[in-house]
Formats: sequence, C-alpha cells, structure tokens
Amino acid sequence: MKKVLGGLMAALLSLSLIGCGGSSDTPSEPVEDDTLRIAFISYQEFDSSEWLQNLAAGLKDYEAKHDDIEIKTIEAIGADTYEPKVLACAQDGFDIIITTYSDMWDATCAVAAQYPDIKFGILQAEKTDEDYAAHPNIEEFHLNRTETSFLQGYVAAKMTKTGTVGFVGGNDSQGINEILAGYQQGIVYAGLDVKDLVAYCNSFTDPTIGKDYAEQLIKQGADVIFGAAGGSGTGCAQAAEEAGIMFAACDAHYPDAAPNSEIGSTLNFFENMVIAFIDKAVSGNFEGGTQHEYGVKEGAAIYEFALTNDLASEELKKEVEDLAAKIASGEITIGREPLHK
Amino acid sequence: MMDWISLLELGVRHAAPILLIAMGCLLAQKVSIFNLALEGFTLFSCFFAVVGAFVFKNVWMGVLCGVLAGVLTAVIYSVFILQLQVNPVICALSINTLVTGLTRYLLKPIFNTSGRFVMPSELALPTIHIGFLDSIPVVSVLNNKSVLVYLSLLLPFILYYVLFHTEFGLNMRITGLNEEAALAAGVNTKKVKYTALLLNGALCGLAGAELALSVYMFNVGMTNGRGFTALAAVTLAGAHPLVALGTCMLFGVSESLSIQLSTSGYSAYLLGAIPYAMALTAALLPRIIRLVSNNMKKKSAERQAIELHSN
Repeated sequence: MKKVLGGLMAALLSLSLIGCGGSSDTPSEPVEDDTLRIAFISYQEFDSSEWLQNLAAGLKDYEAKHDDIEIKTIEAIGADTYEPKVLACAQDGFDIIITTYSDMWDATCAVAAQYPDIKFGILQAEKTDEDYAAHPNIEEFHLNRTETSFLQGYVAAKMTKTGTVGFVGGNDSQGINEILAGYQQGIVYAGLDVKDLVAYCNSFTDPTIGKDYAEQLIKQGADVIFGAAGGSGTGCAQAAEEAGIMFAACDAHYPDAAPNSEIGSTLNFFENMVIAFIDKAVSGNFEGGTQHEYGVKEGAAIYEFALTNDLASEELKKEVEDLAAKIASGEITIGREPLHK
Repeated sequence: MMDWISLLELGVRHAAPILLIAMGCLLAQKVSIFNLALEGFTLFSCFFAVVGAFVFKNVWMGVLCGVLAGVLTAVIYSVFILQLQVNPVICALSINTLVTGLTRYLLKPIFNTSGRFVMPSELALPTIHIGFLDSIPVVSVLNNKSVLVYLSLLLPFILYYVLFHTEFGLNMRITGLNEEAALAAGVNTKKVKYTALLLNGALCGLAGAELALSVYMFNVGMTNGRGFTALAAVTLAGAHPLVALGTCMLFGVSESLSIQLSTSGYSAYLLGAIPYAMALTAALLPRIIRLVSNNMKKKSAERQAIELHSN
C-alpha cells in the first residue's frame, strides 16, 4: 500500500515535469491524413504574461478556423527542457515548429540542423543577420516594442503634473530595456522638462513587490507609473489606483486593477505575427535564414487609450494618432538603447 | 539621504509573511523535519484566501480559507512522510510542483481568468490605526498594519514561551533531539510530529492570507521564493524563535533597502543580491568574531605564560 501510493506520487511528479507527453522515446506513426501539424513552444508559462495569453488564444482561434491545421502549444520551462522538447516535437513529426526568445535559440539551431526538412520559426531571437543566414530552415520574426512605448512616454510626459514619471521593469533584460528606451525617447520628444525614474523589481509574478516599487517612485514625486513587469505590474497598477495618480499600462488594459487611473496601454498582437509566419510557411513562402520585424506599421503593435475612463484629452489623442502615423512612415526613428537606467 | 523610518516600515511589512512561514518552519525543524514544501503550503493558501474572500464576500472568511488550505496541504504532506514513509524531499518537491500547477489551472474554472485574479478593493485586509503610536518615534513604523503583521511580530515570543516553558514544547524538542529517548519516556512522537506539521500548515496559511489579501489579488507564483527565504532565515537562526525574528527582519529590511535604492542608478542585479549578501554576512560574522576572539585569548594567555616564566 505504502509503495503503491509512494510510486503514485513519484509518477505524478515525473508527469508534471515532463508535461510534453513523453513522445521522445517512441516516435508516433506518421499522420495518415494531410493535417498540417504545428508546435508552438513557449519558454515561459502561458499565463505568466498578458501577451502570451493573447497569443495562445489567437492561435486557438486560428486553429478553429482551419480544419487542416493542428496547433499544439507547449511550455518549456527552464533551460534544460528547451532542447528535449524541441527535439521531441521534431521526432513526433511536426511540420512547423515555432520557438520563443533568444533563450531557446541554441536549442532550436541544434534541432534544426538535424531536421532540415522541418520549417522552424523563432519569435524574438535577438541575433545578428549572420547568425540567421547560417540556419537556412529557421525564420526569425520579432516585435518592435520601442514604437508603442515611445507613444506611451509621450503621453506620460504630456499628462504628468509633477514633472516626474516612473518606470517599473520586471528585470534588467534586453526586452524590457527596449520598452524603456522607447519610453524615454518619447518623453524627450515631448520637449517638456520631465524627469523619469527607473526601477527594476526583479520579478514578473510578485504583485506585492511591484506595488512597493511603484509606491517608492510615487514617494519620489512620480505621478505616472509605467509598469512593464507582468504580474508585478498589476501591483504597480494597484499602487497607482490607491494613490490616485496615473498608470501607464503594458501589453493589456487593466480594468480590474486600475479602472480610474490607467491612461493607456501599449497593446501587442504577437498572435498576428505568428499567424503571418504560419500563413507564409503554409503557402510555400517560407523564408528561412532571414529576420522580419513587425511594429506599428504592420499592425502588430498599437497604442490604445484606456477604455474605462477619459483621463486623456481629445487633443492628446489626436496628437498620438499623428505620431503613430509618423512612426509608421519612418519619419521618426527610435533607438533600442535606454538613455539611462 | 536615506529615509530610515520608511526603510524600517517597509521592512516590517516584507518581513511579516516570511516571519509567519518561518515560525511554522521552525516548529517542523524542532521535530527534525526539514520542510521544503513551505512554498507550496503558502501558495495554496494564497489562492484559497482569495477564493474564500471572494465567494463569501468577507475578508475574514478569506483568512480562514487560507488557513484551512495550508492545513490541508500539511495533512497531505505529513501523511505521506510520516505514515507512508515517502522521502520528505521528494514529497516536498511534488507538493510545490503540484500546487504551482493546480493554482494556475484552478483560476480558469473558478474565476474564468488565467494568470491572475483581482478582487474589488473592499476585500483588502484592513489595516489598524493606533492613534497614540504616531507620536512615538521609531515605534510609529508599527502603525497602519494588518492584524496578521502584529500577530507575526508576537509569534516568536509566544513560540519561545511554548517551546522552552511548557511540557508540549519539551516533548517537541526531545522528539527532535532523540526520538528513541522520547519514545522511552512515553512521548507519543508521531502525535507530536503531526501537531508540529499541522501548525506549520496553519501558519503558512496565515502568511498566504497576508500576502494575497493585502493586495486583494492572486497571481501565479506570487510567493516568489518567500518559503525558501523563511527556511534560510530559520536555518540561519539555528531554529531559535527569537533569533529567527532577527533574521527574518534582516531579510525584510534588506529587501526594503533594495527597493529604496532602486532609483539611484545601481545595477538591478546588485540590488537583488542585497538580501543574500546580508544573510551570508549574518551567517559568517559571528563565526569570524568567535575565531578572532579565541585567537586573541590564546595570544594573551601565551603572553601571560611568558611573563610568568620570565619573572
């Protein structure tokens, strides 16, 4: 009895660790019908960030609309699981495998070299053109996050009353720093004397910490807080709402945590990028060995004012619309390096 | 430049959940169970504190549900390790993994969201304002805290009394030190171990309630390693409740220090390491002092011997 229950517990543990389904040992029979099988492997839990949730939902919709396409979404948490899971998908006979972020680049390359017939896509690999050219069956696509955060910075600078705005990032990484870079350049572009404070809270899942960091910035005079920190950012939203100041949102609107204080959000449509890639690959236009950037112009990122209040004036909304058009036309170019940290 | 009062104020707030977990962990350690499942206990309680508060529209029902969830996970853990003799480390890891997955999964059927659930602010854990405290310097940092924070600050003293001045405490300590001797003395060691673990679960439940209800939301993985921090604090304190109060405060204040310094331009990675650097210092400093003082004693004894000899 003891052994059975103990074994059960161990089995439960190993199951939860493998997650993917343990298909690596026994490759399943090739699929008879001509269903196209696509695997999307995320390096983060899908529910950890708003953008990943939207992405997963977008892929599900796409799958529902196309009878001949099957999309499997998989989580690979921790660097030691990247390669085994990508390899398992390749062995399982997926036609297209999409991986995520620079974290998974090495694992993707290793498997892509072994399976030259499988089309690989990678989201946000952050590598150089030479790196991409060396891998003819990997196509990279990434989102330009600086453009919408530029608009966010412009709006924040125009709306602050104290002349100080704040930024709380999830961690000091390239992805977050690009958002910061756009934000800071937007503030400068507004041409007003606005000071910006930067803090990193070292977590994407801790609202308590996020709230404390935001309160610290508020104490130092900030009256707009830009929270780019996933779940910790929800804590920032709550701090702004309680203090009666403004909250600049990232990735999604916050009608639950900051209905009266949110000014607007930098919305991203990662699902559009991934679907554009799938469409290309399905129709035979796969461009391995190259990279593609999506932004305001492609409709993969937009700045949207809050839907739950009208803090922003009509005049400002018009200005932001014009600015977005200028960014799309290439009149305004935005650097990727933060002005200061 | 440094705002000492707000440093301490924030430190107390950060230390409170860690302290609650640590006191539970300490009870388990007293009966020689090295509990690695604290993170799982606390996260499960966070989730059910929010469920309870939201379903019953009452924050205190939330606290109660949090405690019950903590006790439930503790029951599962203790049955596995005490009754079925499963390796405690394996069991703790599976509880942590299971709770992480289960809370993520349950958000969907219960709240129909994924990732996080934010409640109306009426369901926040109320803070208590004590008028006369404001006028006392330094002590005023204790004002405007929730009742669970006060409880967490009192607990080390209560536990100190229970452990060192009651028969129950004696039974616990002897069970941990030498189980066979305890059995020979007629102590029901299994019962003592169960009691310690269930209390551990209840205290983790309070910590979960404090964490989740003070921000009136649940977020996946919101314990963010506090269970392990508490374990470190207790180990550092040699499982002594009053010393553990100190080490938990150390962790709380150093977290608060890295928040205060966050906008000053120091590297975020460096600031994130402050709590651990502090812990390392706290662990090493007493030993170094002892080493140096022993050395000095030895030298002065030698000198005395030489002086005696030459005289």
